[in-house]
Parts: sequence; C-alpha cells; structure tokens
Amino acid sequence: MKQFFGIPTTLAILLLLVGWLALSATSGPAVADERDPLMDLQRGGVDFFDEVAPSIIQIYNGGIQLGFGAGSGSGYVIDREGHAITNKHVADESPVLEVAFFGDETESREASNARWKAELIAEDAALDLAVIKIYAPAEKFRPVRLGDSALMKPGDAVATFGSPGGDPGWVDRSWIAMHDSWLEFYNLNLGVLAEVMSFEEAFWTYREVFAMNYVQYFSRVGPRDYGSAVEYLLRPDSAINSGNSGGPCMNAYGEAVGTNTWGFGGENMGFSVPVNLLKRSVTDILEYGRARRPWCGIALHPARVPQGELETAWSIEAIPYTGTVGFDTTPDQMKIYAVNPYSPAYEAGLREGDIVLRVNGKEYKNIFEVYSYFLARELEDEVVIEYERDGHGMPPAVVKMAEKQTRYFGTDIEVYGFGGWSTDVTRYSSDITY
Amino acid sequence: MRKYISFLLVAMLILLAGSVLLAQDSATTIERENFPPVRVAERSEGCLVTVESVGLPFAGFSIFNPFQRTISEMGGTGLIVRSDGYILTSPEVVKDAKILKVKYEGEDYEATVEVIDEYYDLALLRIDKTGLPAVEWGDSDTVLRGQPVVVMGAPAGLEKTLTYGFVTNIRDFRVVGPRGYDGMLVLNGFVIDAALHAGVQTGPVFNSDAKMIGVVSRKSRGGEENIGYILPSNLIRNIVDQMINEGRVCHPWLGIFPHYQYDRALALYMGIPINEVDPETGQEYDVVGVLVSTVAEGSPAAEAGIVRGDLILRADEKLLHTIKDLETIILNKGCGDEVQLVIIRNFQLRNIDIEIGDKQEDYGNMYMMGRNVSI
Repeated sequence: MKQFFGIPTTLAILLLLVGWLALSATSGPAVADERDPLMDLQRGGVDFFDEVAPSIIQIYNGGIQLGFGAGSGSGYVIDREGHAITNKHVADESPVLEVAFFGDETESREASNARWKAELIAEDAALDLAVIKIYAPAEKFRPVRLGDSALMKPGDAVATFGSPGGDPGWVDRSWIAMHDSWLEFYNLNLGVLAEVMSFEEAFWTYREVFAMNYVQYFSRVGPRDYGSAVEYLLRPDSAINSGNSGGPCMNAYGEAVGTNTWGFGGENMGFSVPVNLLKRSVTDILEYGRARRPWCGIALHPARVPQGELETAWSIEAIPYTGTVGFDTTPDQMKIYAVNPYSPAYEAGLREGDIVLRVNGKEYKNIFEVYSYFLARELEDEVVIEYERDGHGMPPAVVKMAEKQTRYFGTDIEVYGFGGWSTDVTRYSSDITY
Repeated sequence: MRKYISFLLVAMLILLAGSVLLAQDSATTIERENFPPVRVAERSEGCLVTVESVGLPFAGFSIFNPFQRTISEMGGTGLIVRSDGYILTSPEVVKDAKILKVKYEGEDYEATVEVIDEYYDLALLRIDKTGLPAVEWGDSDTVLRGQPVVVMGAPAGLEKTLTYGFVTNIRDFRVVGPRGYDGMLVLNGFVIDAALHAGVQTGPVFNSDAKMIGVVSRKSRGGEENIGYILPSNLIRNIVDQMINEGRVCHPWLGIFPHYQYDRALALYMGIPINEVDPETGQEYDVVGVLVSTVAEGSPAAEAGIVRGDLILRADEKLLHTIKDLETIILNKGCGDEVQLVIIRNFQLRNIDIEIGDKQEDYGNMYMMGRNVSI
C-alpha cells in the first residue's frame, strides 16, 4: 500500500480508518435502547405476548379470602426451580395454593385438576411481596427477566398482565355459567407509565389503602407496616383489576419492572411495586427463608389517632396510625415520634421526643431520606445518630441495625374478620418504624 | 491515476464517517399515516349512522295522573352492513320505539325494524336509501392477542367517537340475552381494553388496516375496567346474512338444562364410573360427562327422548368433561345438523342422534327453578 499511495496518503487513510472505527464504537446510544422493543403502542404487542405469557402464572388461594380477586391473583416465575413472585395479599397465609400456567386448561371450574400445587415460602409485608415455590415439571418454568425499574420514566410503554376477576373459587357452577364472563385469563393490557411516585407519596397512599381496606389487610394479613418499604412506586395507566394483583408490570423489552399491587382512586390508577426494591428481599427469602430487613426502630413521622376511636381496640396511642393529609412536622425538625422498645434504637438510648440532628454525620431535612438510608443498610451495620433531648445535646447513639421483627408480640387478639389489638401500650406489635 | 484513486478512497472514508455520525439519531417516530386511529378515522368514518328512537315504555300507573306516560328517547350507534340500506344496531334502542329515525349525513331517514335477535343482542334496521357506504369487512380469524384496535361509535348527542386500545384476550364469552344470563355463547370473541362508552354497542371495531374485525357487544359484568367484549366479524357476517335472507337467526340448541353441580361426589353417589385421566389427552379431570337436569318441552332433545338423569358421555365421538365442551360442539355445528350422543341411562350405554334446532323463546317448564342456561 505504501508503494501504491505514498507514505503521507497512507498515513492519512489509516488515521481516518482508526478515527471512524473509534467514533462508531463509542458513539452508540445507551445499552438499554439498543435492543428492539418487543411492543409499542402503535404496533401493539403480538410477539410480546407470545414471548412473555409462559412466565405468568395464575394463583388460586385455597384459603379463605376476603373481598379482592375472589381468591385468586397472578404471579410471575423468576427462576428454573419454580420460584415465583406475587403479592402478599394474594398468597397470604394459605394452606393451599394452586397455580396454573398459560395454556393449562383453566377455562372452566370443572377442570380444577389441571392446576399445580404451590407452597408459600415467605412473605414481606413491607413490600407486599410473597415468594412461592411451584411443584411442576421443570420445563414449565420460563423465568422472566427482571428489568431495572430505576430506568423507567413516565411515558415509557408498559404492559400489565393478569387474570382479573379470576376464579370465584367455591362458588357453584350455575353461578359460573351465568357469570362466566367474570373469569378472565391472561389479559394483556398495554399502556404507559403515568407516574413514578416518591417515597413520601407512596407511604401515605399505602396508609390510606390500609385504612380503607383494614378488614382485609388488617385483620388476618397484617402487620401495620404494610407497604412501608416501598421507596418509590410505579403507576402504569394500563388496567389493573382485582385479579391482576401479583402479576408483573413489564417494560417494552419483556422484562418485569414491577409487581402490580392494586388499583385505587379511580379508573386506570394502578400501582406497581418496582422490582429493584424486591430483589434484595427475594434473595434473602430464597437463602434464609425470610426477608431480613435492616431496622433500628424509630419512627420520624407522626402518629395520628382518629377522633372518637380512643375507646376502640384499634387505636393504640403511640403506634403510628394512618396519616391522611399532611403531617405536622416542621421541615427542620426530625422529631422521633415513636421508638419500638425492643429495638436497637431503644437500647442505644433514643426515646420518643428526641430530635435527630445527624445520621452518620449527615444532616437530613427529609425524613424519608433517613428511612431510605436505614433501608439501604446491612444487618449489623452500626449507625451513629446524633440527637438532642429537651434542647440539650446528648451523646451520640450507636445503633446496630437488627432484623425487623414482623411477628406480633404481646396479647394481640386476631379474630377472623376483625382485628383486635391489645390496648396495653407497653406491648408493641409491629409498627411502622425503620 | 494513483492520486485519483487515493483521493477517491479518502472521499469514501469521509462519507462513511459522516454517515455514521448522522445515523446516530435513530429514534423511532410514529408516522402519522400509519398510526391506527388516524388510518381508521380517515377511511372508515362513513359507515356509521346514529339511530334515534322515541318510545313510550309503560312506567307505572299513577292515580294522580292516569294519563301519565314517560317518553324515552334513546340513541345509539348504527352500522351500515349493506349498501342497500341495512343497518345493524342495538335492540335496546329500537325495542318499543314509536318513532325510529336514522341520521345519516345530516339527514333523517325513517327506519323499519327488520329483525330483533335477543340472543345475540343485535337488531337489523332498513332505511329507504341505496348506495350507502357499507363497512369494510375484515377476517376476524386473523386477529391476534396484543394487536391494536380502534373502536368507532356514533352515540346520540355526539357526532362520532373513536377510542384506541389493544386486543387483550381471545376467549369465549356470553352475550347478555333476554333474561340477562342466557344469551348465546360466542366462541373466540375478543376482549379489548379500549374505552367503551354508553351508546357504542354495535359500534365497529377496526384493525390497523381499517378493516372491521368485530362489533362491540358489552362490557365486563363484574365492572372491571378496560374489559370490553367484541363479537367477531365472521360471526356478524353470518348473522347478518341470516337476518337478511331468512328474517331470523338460528341459535343452535338442543334444549338440555345441564346439572351445574355435577361433581365427583355426585357421580360416585350415582354409581357412575369415573376416569380420572382422559385416555385421549392425558389430562386429569374431576368428572366425565354432562348430567341432564331438565329437558325443555318440545325441544329437539325432548323429541329425541333425552330425559332427566341421562349422562351425556360423548358428543360426536368426543369425550365430554365440561358443559362448555358440549356447548362448543353444538355451536360449531349449525341448525339442522345432527349430533350423535352417547348417553348412560340406568347404567346402560345408548346412542341417540339429535337434530339441532333453534332456541325457543319459551321453555315451557313450570318447575324450573333458578336461572339456568340451556344448551
């Protein structure tokens, strides 16, 4: 080549080649956008459905269910051993769980044998998460890829799957024949992500939902910290109906980016818990059999006891109840409203009424940032909390993060249908502390 | 020569580099012409008319005003199914109508009711005008789950409406029917998530090629959002042909009221042997067969000799496990076809052939309790 072109020209050509290669190699778009989306809102999602449907399961809860979904919901398979993610309120405390895959004959109640048995491994109420194990041949499991929910932004195309209306369970067949349209299986709903809600918005939304549905969530299923670890919440505008609970919210690439939880507040107002928040709990559940949430035991948001309910068993003064609109912390003040007496924070000396100044040397203005910080710790981490009491400084408290207890202490009375709680304030049940 | 070639090579490299740089912006844009709602709106608006009716339903007797009447004004979507004046609409709009009008291109036309079919919840009207733009029929067998659909309507009070959604599911569903629970079972109907408003029943549903693949039937009974049921266009075509040519639609029917609580316990009590696993498909089932609870008087099954207590084991050689199995077989055949049943009566197998007839209005059974669906 040197002989043909001469040295300067050769060098110039080589330089240009190298430059061109460098440009094309480095100037591609970000990794996530290089792949072809499987669906969009113009072409629809025909291939998308075929690709993704085998991973979605229907879950029939043989235990007694109140209200929602009439005993069923959805879920999605996450590995080849048959583990699947769903919502806590779908799989909750059930002795009998049955699962059907796409393609199994479930169109009529009479084919109830065409279902696989499944077992609840563990739940995490703070994320409305439940992990189940399905007993079925290995070739049935087509795990879904978990996407990166932090990349989702409003306007992105999403798909929610599920079986709204589900299976009426124990209802007899004549009712089914009349209402057979009540049974929907494997509905694919395409839409866009309408909103990503912040920790604060999600927190108060969960409190409201919890209060409204107290008979369901409160009485037999749950600790009152339901939904407390949801640090942000996806809101797709595609339909989420009752039986959709536990099903995946997928991005256009067929990856699960959220678990659909419920709809609340109007049409097409559905919520999905992002998968990034679930990953840690799922790993813990599969390895240790329970979700090990790092916890120190303080509540920085106010308790609000509703008027006229001081007499009833549901109100316990110091336990944070639902906050509906607004709350009365002044932005500069990080006041501790409650300390769980069995918690590391109590052992370290923190008490109700103390004002938190700095956490591990950093000053926070937003209590939810503090909560996020705690949620991101590991167990056994030590956190130094500088605080003051009655206006004068106190020696900093060294809090060792422990595993959050989600079971009940004391004399809580759990009666089917209505929650009765002990009014003995010295015996705390699981409250909303971090 | 060499210089010429080398300059050429350099120029090509520069062009290549330039094109690589320019090609970075490869964002997908939605071309307006290909966006389904735009295509459908441009090509298919013409097939819609608004049907308006004024009726005098009896609303109760008042001693204070014995002459009181209520006037009900209703309006709904009408779909032009044939260019010589045939329009498909909803029976609710045209039933008991004293005055019936069709609004097309700003003009009112007198409409006569040709056929009202309550089991499919459809009505056929005729107006005295030819050369109407009939709707473009598509092939509903090609519809796939996940594809986009556009629903158009012409309810009273609004010009035309259009909503956009996707096919959520393809499944069997039951139409409303005269008693609310006994409409026809539609095989392979579509479930879509487009918004459906009042007055859009029998509105056309188009695919992205602006061909009609179905007609709106109803919404979810449980009140779930974004669930609408669509009758497939191939079925509508069949129904419309029957309405125009024969003046009525035939609903394949035997006249059997199946026993809905027939489960394994009852089968064991009755002494009926049960196969847990279907030998042909290998699938497990609770029970086998469809148990007859009652037979409608004068129905094809009654004339063929089916009585209460018979267990229908096979229909046309297929082993039955669910009531829907039998219903699907009957619907897939037509009126006038024969179906061969194998039944068990008094522990004996019998073969009975029944000619499928049309569904009766009046079942004639005095002792029928509850709401039951007959096949």
